[in-house]
Amino acid sequence: MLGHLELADVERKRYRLPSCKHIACLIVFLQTLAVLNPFRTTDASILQDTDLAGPLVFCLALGAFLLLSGKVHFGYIYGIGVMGCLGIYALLSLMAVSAVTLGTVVSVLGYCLLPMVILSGINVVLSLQGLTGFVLTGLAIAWCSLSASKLFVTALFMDHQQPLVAYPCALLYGVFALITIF
Amino acid sequence: MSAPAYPPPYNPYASAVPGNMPPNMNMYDGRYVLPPPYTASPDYSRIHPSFPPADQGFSIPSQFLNEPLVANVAMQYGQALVGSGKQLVGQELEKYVPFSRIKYYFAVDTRYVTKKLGLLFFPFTHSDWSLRYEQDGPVQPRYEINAPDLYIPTMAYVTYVLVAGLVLGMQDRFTPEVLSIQASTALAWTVFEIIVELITMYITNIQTNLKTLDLIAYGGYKYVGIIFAVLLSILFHKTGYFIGLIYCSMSLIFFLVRTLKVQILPIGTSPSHHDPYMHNSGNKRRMYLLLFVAGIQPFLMWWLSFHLISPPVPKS
Repeated sequence: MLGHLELADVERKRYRLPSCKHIACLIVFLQTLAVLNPFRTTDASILQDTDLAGPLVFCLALGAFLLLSGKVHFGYIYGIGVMGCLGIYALLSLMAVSAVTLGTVVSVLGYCLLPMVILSGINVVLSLQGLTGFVLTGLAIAWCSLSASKLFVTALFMDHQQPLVAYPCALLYGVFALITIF
Repeated sequence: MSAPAYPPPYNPYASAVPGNMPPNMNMYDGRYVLPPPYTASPDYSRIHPSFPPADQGFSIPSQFLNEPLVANVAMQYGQALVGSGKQLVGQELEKYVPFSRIKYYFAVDTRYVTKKLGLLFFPFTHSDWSLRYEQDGPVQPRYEINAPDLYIPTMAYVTYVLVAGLVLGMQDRFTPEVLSIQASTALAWTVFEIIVELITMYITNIQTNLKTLDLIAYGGYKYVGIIFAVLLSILFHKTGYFIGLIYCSMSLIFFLVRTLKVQILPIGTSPSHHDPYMHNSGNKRRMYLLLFVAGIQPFLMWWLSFHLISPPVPKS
């Protein structure tokens, strides 16, 4: 009997599964990469499970990078994030034919914050106030709003309205960029 | 089998008792070895009082509700309640803020928005300003270029507040309070303008097809001109600002006069036959109302933006 227990112990140590924490991180990372490519066609099922952990991680990462640049702006990020999410939720519920939930809006906006996080990471090392900084900022805002609007349009079955959704998203991410740079 | 016939996979009425799960799932031999499901039954007797099967006088509710059929029905009833509760809340809210009416003004697409913006800046070549109507109201803005919408005014208002912040930041006059001051001032002036128009229409007893939301839409189109003028002022300072302001005022006045003429002034062949005298005598009043609505736009445009332009930088 003792021999059986020892064998079970050895087998368990050899075939160790990765812990749930690691799997969750991996899933979040893969989903982020999947949704952030604005040039591939997505289908509506990608937003079935609204995940709020990813957006939270990105907001904290943005705050951390800003902290590294010497700016303590957690309050602004939170306030602008909440107001922006509420505003876009109101606009989408008025514009779209299908039902919109606040969780979907927060999830999409949070995931598409990743280019902004990358921009603030670059801001730690280089200064973004020159011409190259302007161009980089413009590219980041365009990338964010393009992928966000593509996700919204696909999930809510809106037709010929993607630039109309991209504009308010661009305004929101522009405000985030203003916080990052100035 | 001595195990109970239905260990339910999901039992909302069973508390999360530790030890409810099978104690260990051995991977011995690479196979899952589950303990027999009989171990589930002691938990039942621990949670619920034992139900003597012979006694059928009255049913103990908890045991009765444990049956999956009843549990399903109870859950569906609860979900139906939630649905009807949401509907009730929506109906109550609809009395105060008419969401379904507002949705009409947001039924736009990209083609409409680009054409409308082009019209706002260059309305001089557009020839047909009439509105088409369906059986229960005007056609959606998506299909009718002359219909008013609320998407452009809302976006223009938000952009105006952000551009104001940007311009003030470039002049080192920016604080976060300034943004909220700008937003609330512009909103207050817009509301004041619409109230004045509504009171004028009420006092002069003019019957039109214009609704309050239409007036809000037409009042919001000036923010597009304000943004254009302020952006010009970034490059060309005072001269650029005034040139932009004068051009946008002229095109907005033209746009509003042509659009509202269809809605305020009576058409020659009016379908309503009753009371033709009312229409004839109200002509002058209607024209004054039209000119008033179109004429206050330039003043409001100037009032809302002149403090944002920077003085020209002296050349040293």
